[in-house]
Amino acid sequence: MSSKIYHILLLHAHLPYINHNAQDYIEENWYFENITESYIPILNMIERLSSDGINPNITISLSPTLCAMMDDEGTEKKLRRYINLKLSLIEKEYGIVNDDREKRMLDFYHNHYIECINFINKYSGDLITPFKLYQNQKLIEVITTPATYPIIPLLLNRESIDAQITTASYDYSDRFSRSLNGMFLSECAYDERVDNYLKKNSIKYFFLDDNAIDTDRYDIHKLYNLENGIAFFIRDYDVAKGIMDENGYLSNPLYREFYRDIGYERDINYLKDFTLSNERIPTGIKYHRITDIKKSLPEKELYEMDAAIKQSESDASDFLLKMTEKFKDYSSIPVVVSCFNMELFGHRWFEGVHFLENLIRKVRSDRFPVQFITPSEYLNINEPHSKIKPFISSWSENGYFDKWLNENNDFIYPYLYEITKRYIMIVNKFVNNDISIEIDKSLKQLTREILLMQSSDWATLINYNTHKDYAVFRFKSHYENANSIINSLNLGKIDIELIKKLEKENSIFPFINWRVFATKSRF
Amino acid sequence: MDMKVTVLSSLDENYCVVMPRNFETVFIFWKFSNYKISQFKNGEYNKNIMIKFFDENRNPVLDISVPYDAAKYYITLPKHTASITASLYLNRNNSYELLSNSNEISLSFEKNLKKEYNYIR
Repeated sequence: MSSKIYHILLLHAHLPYINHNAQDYIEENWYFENITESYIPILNMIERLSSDGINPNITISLSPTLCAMMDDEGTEKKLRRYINLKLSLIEKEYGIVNDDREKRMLDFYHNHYIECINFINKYSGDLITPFKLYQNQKLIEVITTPATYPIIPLLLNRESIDAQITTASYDYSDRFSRSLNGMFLSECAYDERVDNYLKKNSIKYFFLDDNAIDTDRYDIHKLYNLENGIAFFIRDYDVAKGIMDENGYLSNPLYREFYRDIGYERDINYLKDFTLSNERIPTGIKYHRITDIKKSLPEKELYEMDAAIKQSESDASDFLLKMTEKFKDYSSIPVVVSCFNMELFGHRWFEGVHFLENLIRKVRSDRFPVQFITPSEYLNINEPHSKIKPFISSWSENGYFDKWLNENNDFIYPYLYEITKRYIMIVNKFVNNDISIEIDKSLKQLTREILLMQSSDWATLINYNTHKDYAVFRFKSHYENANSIINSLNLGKIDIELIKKLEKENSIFPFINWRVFATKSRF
Repeated sequence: MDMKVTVLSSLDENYCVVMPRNFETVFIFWKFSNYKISQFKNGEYNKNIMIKFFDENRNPVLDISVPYDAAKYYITLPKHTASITASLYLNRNNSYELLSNSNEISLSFEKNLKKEYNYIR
């Protein structure tokens, strides 16, 4: 019987870089929702656990695009406005609802958004600081993803892979004042071309889905490494399934219903002062519970908070019991790796943060043989089991890349291929030359535009046909910006006003090094 | 919004590129230079091109014949290979001329897991 189970809990947070200071887009709400409903509640949870002497030891992956939004002043102003509008909407709702259960929800929402404002004030609006602080206190380990969250196997040249990994590594070191130990490859998407660039950036470990290895031959609860020595952890899909499947915890009838939202029920004229949109969009104000997953939204019953909270505590115990049971006859100490999108907890699964907190508390209070551990801690005390050459894979629906490459979105790839090829030619032309400040600024901005084009978010949004227009608009804008800069560099006529304008619009990676895109000899 | 309204870049080259869609399906896209397109239009070449796929040891895996202006294609490989490359051939009077070789991509072993998530944003 195994005396202990190591559990690496990875919460992964990413959003596309959306930064429109001059104009409002509904897509900006993704950031505001995730910050207020997931990231701040999880950070508060870490603080509560820490003040009770409990080290959560969880791992958090923050993509560089998300980090860039977290320390952007314009985005902070919009976040504050978003919260104030929520508080105004809640005030107005008190005059509409009658049932005590709805009023109780409004009390919760009111207190919650006040807590968010207090949290933002505490850190002077810089939301990177608490992550950095908790990492320095060894309560969490923070890692990152490739720079703009591309699907690595769909990047068409090695220079792009190098640039994505190197830029992310540099961004992380600059932001967190330490070197990067681990990387969460976007959507766990892997192909072997990335191995050298992980090594080049001294990255010690990364994560893979379980279909990256032959699970008939290899145990997913062990640590492995690549030929070049970099370690990789295998995600345990069954853990995710236990939560997110149709019969998983998430679907409990007592839990809050995600899809029934007053944004789809109240009069549009009533809503638009608070949503700043003429379209129907979710407001986050929800009063109902799942009731029965087969029931339609109008049939849902009112939410009862006490019962739901109690259920989440019971689900946390059940999770730990099942994990303990699963490994009771295991001969050595397993490492169970569970990876989740961070916004699952709080935003998508309202009671999810409470579940997480109970999971961590119950290990100690109920003496479960489970030890939360960060990947770096695990690597310090464990040697990789053996060397394996992983297969191409991702953690997506069917384990590969169909979501980002299909008949709906494949039109973007020829554009991406051609512009990147022309870009690399330009970089190779200038890389060994003395260049003017204007050319340097142009090449830096060009690199930002190329990296932003490579983001997988555009293909995802086009595929799902949700926010497709926005995705095409963004892809097209970055393409046209890059095209204009390449043409001006080829003609030797730099349009410095255009560069200044684009630097304001797409100001990510302020210290970007365009030389990483230069073609190098294979190593 | 139509992406095609944008003027495509001035990369006036012949190329073909392969991408992995999943463990058995490959996406290929190609483009001809303006000069080559004019040759097609003048009837110097057959309007169908031949694309040959090869495994990691350069063994033939599959040949397809497609219209030159189809510009893209998905193929399901008849057998599993560790990697794939493609070569694009033009047909002039039933004689095939190699025009362009693609990049090489890794593929996976046969393990088509069905992982359906109930979680959609």
